[in-house]
Amino acid sequence: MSEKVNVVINGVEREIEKGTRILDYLISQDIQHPHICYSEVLGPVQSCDTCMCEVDGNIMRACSTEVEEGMNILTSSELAKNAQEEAMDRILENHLLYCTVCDNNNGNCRVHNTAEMMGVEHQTRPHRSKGYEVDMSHPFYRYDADQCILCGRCVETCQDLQVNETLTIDWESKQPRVLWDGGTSINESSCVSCGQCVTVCPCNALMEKSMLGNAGVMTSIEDDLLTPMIDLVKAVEPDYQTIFAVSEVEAAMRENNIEKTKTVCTFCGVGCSFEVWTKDHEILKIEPSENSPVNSVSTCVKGKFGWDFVNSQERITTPLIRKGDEFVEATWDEALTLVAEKMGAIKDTYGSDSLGFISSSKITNEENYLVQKLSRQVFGTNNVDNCSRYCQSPASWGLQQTGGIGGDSGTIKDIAGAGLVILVGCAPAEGHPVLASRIKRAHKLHGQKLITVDVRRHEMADRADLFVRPKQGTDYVWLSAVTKYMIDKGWHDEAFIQKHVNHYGEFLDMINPYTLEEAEKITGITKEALIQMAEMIRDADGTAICWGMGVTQNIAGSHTSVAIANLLLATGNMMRRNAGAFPLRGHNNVQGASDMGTMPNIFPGYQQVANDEVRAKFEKAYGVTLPAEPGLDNIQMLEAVDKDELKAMYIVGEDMAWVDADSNHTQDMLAKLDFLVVQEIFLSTTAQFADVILPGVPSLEKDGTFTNTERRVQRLYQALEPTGNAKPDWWILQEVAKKMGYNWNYEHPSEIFAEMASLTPFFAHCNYNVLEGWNSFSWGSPDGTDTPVLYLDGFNFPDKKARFGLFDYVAPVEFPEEFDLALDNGRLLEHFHEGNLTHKSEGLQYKFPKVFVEVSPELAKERGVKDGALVRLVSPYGAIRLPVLVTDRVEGKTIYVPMHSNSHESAVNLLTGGAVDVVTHTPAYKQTKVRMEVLNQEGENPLPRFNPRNATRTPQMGLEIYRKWERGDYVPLASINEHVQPGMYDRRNA
Amino acid sequence: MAKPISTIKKNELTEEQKKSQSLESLLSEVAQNKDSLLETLQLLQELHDSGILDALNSLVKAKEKVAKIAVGQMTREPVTNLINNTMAAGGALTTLDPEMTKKLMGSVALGIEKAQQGLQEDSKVGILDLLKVLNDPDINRAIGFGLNLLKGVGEGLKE
Repeated sequence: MSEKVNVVINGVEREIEKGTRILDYLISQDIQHPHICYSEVLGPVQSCDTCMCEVDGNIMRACSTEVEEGMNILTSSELAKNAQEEAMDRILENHLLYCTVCDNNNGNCRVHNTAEMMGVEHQTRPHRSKGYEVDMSHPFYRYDADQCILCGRCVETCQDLQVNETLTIDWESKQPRVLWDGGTSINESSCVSCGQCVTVCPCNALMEKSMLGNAGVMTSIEDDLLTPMIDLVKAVEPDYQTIFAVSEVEAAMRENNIEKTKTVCTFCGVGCSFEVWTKDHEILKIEPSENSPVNSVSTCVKGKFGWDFVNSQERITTPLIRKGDEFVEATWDEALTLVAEKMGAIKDTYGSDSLGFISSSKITNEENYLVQKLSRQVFGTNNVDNCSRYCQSPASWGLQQTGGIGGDSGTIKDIAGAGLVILVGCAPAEGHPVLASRIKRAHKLHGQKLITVDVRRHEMADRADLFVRPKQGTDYVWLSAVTKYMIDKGWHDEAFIQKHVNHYGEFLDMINPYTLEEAEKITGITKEALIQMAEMIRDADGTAICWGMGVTQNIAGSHTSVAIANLLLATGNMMRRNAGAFPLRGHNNVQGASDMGTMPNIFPGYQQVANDEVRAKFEKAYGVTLPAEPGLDNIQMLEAVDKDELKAMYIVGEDMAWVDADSNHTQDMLAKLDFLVVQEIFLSTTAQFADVILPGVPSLEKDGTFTNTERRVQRLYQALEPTGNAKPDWWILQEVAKKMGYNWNYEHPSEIFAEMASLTPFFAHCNYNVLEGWNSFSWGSPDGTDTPVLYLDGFNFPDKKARFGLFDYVAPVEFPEEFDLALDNGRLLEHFHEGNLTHKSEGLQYKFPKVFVEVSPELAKERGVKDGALVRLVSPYGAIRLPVLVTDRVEGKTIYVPMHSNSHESAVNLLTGGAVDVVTHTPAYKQTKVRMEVLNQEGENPLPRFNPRNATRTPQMGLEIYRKWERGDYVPLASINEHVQPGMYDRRNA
Repeated sequence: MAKPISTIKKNELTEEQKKSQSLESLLSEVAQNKDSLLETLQLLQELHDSGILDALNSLVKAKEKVAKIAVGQMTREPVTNLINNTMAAGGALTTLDPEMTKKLMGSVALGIEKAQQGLQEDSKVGILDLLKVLNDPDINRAIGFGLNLLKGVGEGLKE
């Protein structure tokens, strides 16, 4: 689209790309022009009418009118000005300007700023109440209809950006307002608390409760003083410019109290970035920005509202040392000295490999780098691993075998832009909500197709064009069958294979047995469904496959990940945009932890420790001889403890006690250690076994970088001072090294990053300046340049060609017959992991207080249980006790238990155990069978009435602004009112 | 075997220790800010001697009450009228051209001087004198100014 048109704007001739909207052009040229409802993300909402301009004598909206050859555009002619002023007058009838005592007076209030910019001095329509109570029912935010200007940005966002489809405006009512599910309270609605409506609200109608009475210099004033003050302002009727001037002084005063710091979210691997607003150590709110490269204005409930844990009273704020049967507080020097003495002595007595280090997918890249350096340089062992071993190692391994790089093929934009998305064993609306919203939007607005393959029916299954439930652990088979069928039919990409992929012949031989009939028999997916899948892949311009723990936490997890890559290679869905392989990383730095070399066989950047040349480079940098043999992974470390070979462990920010499979065994092994150091922010169950606990800090209290699921490195800036005597984790690791006689001397994480990058080709062109502010860097090229989409110049092998992976199916583990129920397990939206962080949030606990077991209606009937019945689940490894939730999200004899428990009563990993992935040793959490004993047939429903899962959504296409125009009392301002279909805007830009 | 421990023995500081810790940190602050603290102390003494400190103290203690009274007083109609009048008058003055005002004030002073002279002469003015002086350029200018002024006021009243 490079065709240009010539237009005249305010008397000046300009050449503009055809199809550009007038407002976009004005914004790009920094020409000030009023607008409130418009947003780059949402496109023209067309509700505020303040952007009117005069086009060839007509009054037109600048937001929705595209430039055309010869147009004469006047942005501030009398005609245009009058229309703008009339529009603002209508807005101010709905909104009282008590800015100085308003918590939203933070310099970014769009209504305030626009009215001020327009020079509004008075209004002709007085403000009037709409006659609705303020809705305070929800724990995290409130709606005040009397301040709502009915711009509908919130509705547009809820319907078409987040696509939760809860908010509407009742345009036909006498006094329209924003409605939740057509008229229920916010709290009882289907609202999933993502907070995006609050973020996009251009005034104070929707506000975070954490801001109320907190943000302003004078906003904490009690109501009986505040109301008269507002009355006074009204009675005095100063011109608005005076009000604005005073409120700006107040806003300036706030800037001294409120810090705004960019950070990166830690509740999943999507990598949302946003500002966190703080006052002293208090968190006022999370403020996303259109500058965020991944999420723009989007967040989920945890990212927007789930940060209470940072200021929890339960934080460990001083080093602790085990003495008898209690922990006693110690100084840093005492604690660090003890760690160095004990670890040093064990190393001297039993050798370096009697030590093991576990790093974390929550800490920064810099800290992960230091963990592997501490393990290798200071203690001389490759026994270092991270928790991706529990989740994503099979996916990384599968992609390394086939394309050469263990990471997502592209970015979230490539998922949004794909013609077809296939979700396999992942529930992104629960686990990766912002990423899910992009799929939901593309599906709703842009004709993207969606296939969901999962044993449990979740939101993305409800929305899918095709939803199939395979038998647990059989995904390899249907993937191979669909691939074979497509090749047999000639629907594959032969030219691509010939040019770019090796081992085609062997591959054809290997998948030969996987006919549709065979696949139907093994997976339970009908032949018809398999054919439909093949047809949908054939017909799509770009297929993106996303997968999660439902694939990887099986004994064939690695091989199944290869099968996914094979299917994509066979159909030419690699080496291009808007397609590819997308393992959805579950934590903020799962990708980064492995990238930084906290794995037993690799240095940073996946450089093999067994490679002499690589090792020589690190030996030179570290000034020591490094072990050539790969070390032990998490699973092997515990085995070595059992065999008395591993004597001491150093665990950073990982609650292994609950996160590893077979928790009873894990905890026995932790208890057996001679010496255990745990670096933590809470007294987690793992920490309870420690001899020394070193208090680290959460992300908001330090600097560093995280790498998200897209391989995108982003900086986080310190927003808060460390709590008490806790210290940034990189500082702690450095002090341990120093106590061991190594002169580490980093003053800032940027120096650690620079050292890492100097040793790691993938990061050659990345540093803290490249990552400044909202900027980011995606690794993925051997030359170390920014690479948002992988392999565009060839695959990461010497011959630049990919390889079909030749790894065959491994059938799921068999269980004794008495264990008759298949136990599925995983995440739900409101909580994170075992709950150590999110259980500290009152609001999250209110919406989702405890875990339960989902039981299908059939099974419930058979066993005579109802919602709230208490049952015991027993596996070969252990037992838990929890309440029942009857739901058709699960089917037949499959049950589902969320993993969000750190209680000996209900933590799901007391049940899992035994089997592991054949390659990476990732526990096969999903291949667990149990039996159910009914303890009590009735009880309280574990899911509160006001949990959004109990409500019904109200979907519609965006705001439906035309319904406002159809009102009898609507007097049009624009000469033409043409409804712009939602989503038009970004389809054009896709 | 290391049993899991869930209790932390806090280093509870005795009252004495807490006191000495507070004093220590206070002393170091004092040492660092000696000059400004001394000045502040002098200022406080002055305020105390004059009784202002006492008054301020009471005011701050009763700040909510006082603010409510003040705002209550201010919302009374006569007061809001006063504020509105003041603001309106202020607003009107801000639209005048200061140069013109200066000229006008100068002219008025000159006029008064002339008038004084006229008074002292105590001469009678007849109707013919009036017509005759219309031709005087200074007087003509002043009358023209007055007439236009009246017209402007009249327009203002119309709105």
